[in-house]
Amino acid sequence: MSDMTEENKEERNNQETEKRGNPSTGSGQDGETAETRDAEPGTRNPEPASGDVAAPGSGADAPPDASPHPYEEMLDEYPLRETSEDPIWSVRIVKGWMWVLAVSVTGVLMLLVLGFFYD
Amino acid sequence: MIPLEFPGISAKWVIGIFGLSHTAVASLSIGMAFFVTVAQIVAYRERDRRYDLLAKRIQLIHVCIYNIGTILAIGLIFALSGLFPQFWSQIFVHFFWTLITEEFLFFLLATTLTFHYFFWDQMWGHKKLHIALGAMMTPLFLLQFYIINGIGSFMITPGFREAEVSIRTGIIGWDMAAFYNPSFLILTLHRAFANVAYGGFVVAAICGVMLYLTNREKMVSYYEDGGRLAFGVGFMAFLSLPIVGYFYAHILMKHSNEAYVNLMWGRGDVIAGGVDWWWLKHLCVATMLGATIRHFHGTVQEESALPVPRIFVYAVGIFYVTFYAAMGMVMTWAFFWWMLAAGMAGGLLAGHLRKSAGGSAKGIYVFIGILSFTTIMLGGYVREASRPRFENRIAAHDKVYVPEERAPYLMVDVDPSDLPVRPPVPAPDVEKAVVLIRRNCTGCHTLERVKYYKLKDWDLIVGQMQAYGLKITIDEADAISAHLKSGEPY
Repeated sequence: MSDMTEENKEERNNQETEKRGNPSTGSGQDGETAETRDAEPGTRNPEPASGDVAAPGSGADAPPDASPHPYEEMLDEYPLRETSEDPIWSVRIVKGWMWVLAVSVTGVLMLLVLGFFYD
Repeated sequence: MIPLEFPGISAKWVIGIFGLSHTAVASLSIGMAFFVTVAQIVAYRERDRRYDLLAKRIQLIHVCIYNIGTILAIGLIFALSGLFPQFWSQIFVHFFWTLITEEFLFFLLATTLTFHYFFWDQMWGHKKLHIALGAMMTPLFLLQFYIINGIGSFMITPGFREAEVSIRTGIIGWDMAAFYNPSFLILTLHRAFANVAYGGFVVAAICGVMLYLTNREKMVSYYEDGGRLAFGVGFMAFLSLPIVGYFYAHILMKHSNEAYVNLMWGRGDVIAGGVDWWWLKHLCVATMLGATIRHFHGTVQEESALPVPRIFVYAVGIFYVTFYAAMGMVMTWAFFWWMLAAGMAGGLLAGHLRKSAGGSAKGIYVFIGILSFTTIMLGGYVREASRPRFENRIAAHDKVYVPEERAPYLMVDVDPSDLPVRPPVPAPDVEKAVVLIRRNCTGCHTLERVKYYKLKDWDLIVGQMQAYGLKITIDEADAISAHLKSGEPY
């Protein structure tokens, strides 16, 4: 029961951050993990978030767009998290489906190989 | 019996419209699935969210495209089965179980695509598993491609065994010789690489369009780098095409000479409306070649998530020039010079587009995206337009697959030697037999196909063709059979 509560909470958090246009876990937020911090999200030298400077080749004479794109807040971090923070049901579905795929692909390949020898 | 018709449009064009519309969207699927995996891996390795966000957005487009492609494929099958029941019934004789397997793969692909997109934000703790799920789509697509191309290539370089087997064992819905026909592997390779190139270039074109719509610095960087990655993926696949295409042409020359001649000499439906559509396709390819080489020549030193080595860029150019030279030797040198001119024009235009966009590649991305779309359309059209044509359309539903109309010895386990002995047939009129063969056999297939059958089986085969819908008298059947058994030319 408590697991379900945690899952619901996590899902709600995801939805809220998605609405805000920022599913990433910013510094010091709940979702940040040791892995995320070690990941050096700034490896591509993130620029200041002002975003109101026109880039070269983008029609520099035109005034910059007034409103930032929702993606802009997400671009600087790669929000890896602990495996335990993923909803267990989604992980189970994906793992189960991977097994279905592995068995199915093996079966189809077997049919094609057998079909090469038998008419 | 009046066959079904679409009002105001011929049956051939109905199939053509469905087929090309399906190709336009479905061909993107392999390329987009492959690109999404590449972008996700790059994003994970560099811990760079931009590529992951681009991959997610492209996967959403892919979900839409997959649905539209499926609907068009269903429309194509309905149109084929309604307008060309004879054709469709023959396809089932050879490939019923192959098509059922294809259907199963469509189910696997659609479900995998759905899970991959909709679990995107649920799996940040299992990112590698999520990437692996998306990566599974590429082998699934290749398998699906492998199967549908076995059927598609059968129509241009048919192999035959089912017609002989089914005489004694009934329809088994699988024909090894028909599926593993001479051109199936090379067509699979050519289409797979072409679709990866198409997908990569179209993703880059999407980034190019978005670059025209934004001038916020972060978003410009997002689309520029994403477009560069997609363009690199498309370009690398582009390299393989002249090599594969050269061997494809060789196989056509040996196994489907009529299609080869139609392509090389501009005959049949390859020429329509006074335009040689195969030349036009290659003009598009040559323009793309010139533009992409010019683009990479100017940007090869730039930092990229998928750097393209300079030697690779020039290798593409040399391969293509060699290919066009070979085509020039086979056809006419005018072909070579036209392609060279188109390549140079493409290079000059790319330089202009880059300069006018202040160093951005957005114009080139959009230009190449449009050209790759036209190339895929024209390539799909000319492949079908070049193959031997069926001269008569047998579309009478009541003459196809009605069991009581089958000759009694068809589809049952009867040895030809057990059949009742017919009274001796007088010596056939050779001239009349040749006319009958040419007129009746070419109603459904080429005369080349007739040569595949064994001489001793002709009584059975002519009977089977009557069961398929061939309307001839007993005397005519005997005359045809006797002439074919004699091995004389026709």
